[in-house]
Amino acid sequence: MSGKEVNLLVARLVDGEISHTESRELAGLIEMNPEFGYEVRGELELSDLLSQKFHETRSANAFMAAMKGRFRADRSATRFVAAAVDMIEKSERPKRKRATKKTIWWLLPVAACLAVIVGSFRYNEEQAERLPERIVARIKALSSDVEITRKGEVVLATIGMDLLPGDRIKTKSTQRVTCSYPGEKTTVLLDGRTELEFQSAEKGRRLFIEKGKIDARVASGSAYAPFVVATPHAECEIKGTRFMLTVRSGRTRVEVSEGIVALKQLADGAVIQIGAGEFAEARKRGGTLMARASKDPPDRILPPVKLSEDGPEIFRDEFTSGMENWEPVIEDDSGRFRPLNESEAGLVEWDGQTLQRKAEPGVVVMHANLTKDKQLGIRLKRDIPPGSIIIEYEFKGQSGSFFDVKYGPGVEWTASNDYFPGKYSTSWNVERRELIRLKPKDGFERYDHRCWYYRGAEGKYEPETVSADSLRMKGERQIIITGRARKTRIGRVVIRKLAKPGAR
Amino acid sequence: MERLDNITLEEFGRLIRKHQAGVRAFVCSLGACFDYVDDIAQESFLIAWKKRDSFDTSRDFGNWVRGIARNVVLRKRVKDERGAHVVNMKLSEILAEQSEEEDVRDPETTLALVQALDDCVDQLPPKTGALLRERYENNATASQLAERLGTTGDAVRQAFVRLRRRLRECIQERVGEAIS
Repeated sequence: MSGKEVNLLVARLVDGEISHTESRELAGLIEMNPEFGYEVRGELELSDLLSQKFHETRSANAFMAAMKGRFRADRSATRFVAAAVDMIEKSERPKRKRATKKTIWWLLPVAACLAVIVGSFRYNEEQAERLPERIVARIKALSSDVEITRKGEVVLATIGMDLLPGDRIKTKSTQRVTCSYPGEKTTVLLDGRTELEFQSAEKGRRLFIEKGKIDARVASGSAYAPFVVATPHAECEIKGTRFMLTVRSGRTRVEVSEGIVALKQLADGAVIQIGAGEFAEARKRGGTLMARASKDPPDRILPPVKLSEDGPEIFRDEFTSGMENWEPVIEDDSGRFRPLNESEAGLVEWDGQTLQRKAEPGVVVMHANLTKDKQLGIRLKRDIPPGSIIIEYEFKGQSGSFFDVKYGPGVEWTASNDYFPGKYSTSWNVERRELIRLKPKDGFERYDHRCWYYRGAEGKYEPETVSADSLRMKGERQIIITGRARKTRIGRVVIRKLAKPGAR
Repeated sequence: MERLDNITLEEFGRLIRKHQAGVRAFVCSLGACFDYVDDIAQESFLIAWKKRDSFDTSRDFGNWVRGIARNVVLRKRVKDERGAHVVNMKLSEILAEQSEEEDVRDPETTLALVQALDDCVDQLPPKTGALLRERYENNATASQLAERLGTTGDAVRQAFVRLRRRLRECIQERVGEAIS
């Protein structure tokens, strides 16, 4: 590799545009020449200092503000955990009924006075932005025909409608609703088939999710803190964070994107903190409660919009797994979502004005720019059957082999190589000396792995009679991929998930 | 040995403000993806706060937090299944190992480097300064800049390689110590 090529490789690293293969190449160069590693670190360090100097969001003040938020979230979560533990301990102590009664009767007036003093003090502090006491939230956007149950009566929801304590929203499968909290940046998005009740609480805001899924962003430093979300199995306290909560079949799953959420399992009172990039599940019957690293970014719920020619920004998010597994979808006449067809491609584009991939890797900004009242969405690609993978290969003889792996949704495969993510579609070169093992987590008996093809002279794939020499099965337990290949050949193997284990 | 255990959060905040630039640049130098640099630095300071009673005040605070940050980066590599996007995997491992073997930097030197960088940037010709601003202030990629300038992405990258080299030489002249 020439000096210029090495420089460009480092420049691509500094620009955040380096590929896995190039990153490995660079690592190899540093291993051979440690002095070069010193150079690379210098380039990265200088580039970061320049970014801190010029970019507003990376200034010292912005960093300190974010740091404060981080401390606040951490302390708040710690306090919640301490309070929950204290509460559990108290509930386990033997009750002394008479003593409690005696203590409480004379304390009541004192407590009432204190509540008035504290309450009026807090009111003075917060009244500038505060809503009238009875209004909990407001509807910001919604799909057609969403119904709200208010005091036993069903009313049709409208944009701008104030939500009161006890209001219950129930969405159908294709309906979405966005609720906001005026005066702050807190929003709650309800997915389809969700039942949510706005409840009042003496302190803070409280939602009860009977079933379904919400995607919530809770502003830090809210006047309404703490923000509590309750479900039949769990209770979460949130302060300045972003999370997704799903309630289904006896369990509540909380997945946190930013900040910290404290989750309490109602069955046994167990409490846990879930940090960014982690998820945990509280179960109806209780059991071990633990936070684990999220393996897959959750499908985002998009706000309902009346698409217009103005094309306002309706969605912005980061996709930490990269964009290759995602696709924009649109609601069809039957209310189901399908990928955009060719005629719609001009209206909603991946890299055009309406739906574009931002300069930063993995960030998508979606703009509404259709004249029809249709729902847009973004989801994991469905072109590969759920649970299955397709490996396309090109054996290049002495120079190793090239593999392009595409995963269907919900795959659970493990790989022995770091650069093979085991989850997200990827392409990579396997060097001659490398050997990679692939295994489905739920056992090979659930998969049909006999579909081998090679590309014939006309470019069409035809069934392969024998597995290729650098991609083979070992004892029907794992797939072995090596860079060694005796011949040049292009082909693919389709590993399909079976409806029943062993059925082919 | 004097400890930090009685420090208030406000005092700790002052230490963070003093060392944040160096720690963030250090995290970046370990190959952490740019979107996660500040996040990792914040996590490191948070860990430092929780472990403050184990810090020996005779040591430099910035170097102590750098050690924590190094472990955070390595942990991201090992534990986080999304680690491929947080750090540059193998590359981060090698760079982190290498940084561990180095002599610790004098705390005042980092601050001097930042000051020297400001001076060196101010001395750049207006056209070069504008290009630097476009790249770092507006987060323009090499390809975007190339399109605007009517050249290739690689030509822009090469220009930035030369520009950064020039800045590093300028900083070295002023402080007497190279970056990294």
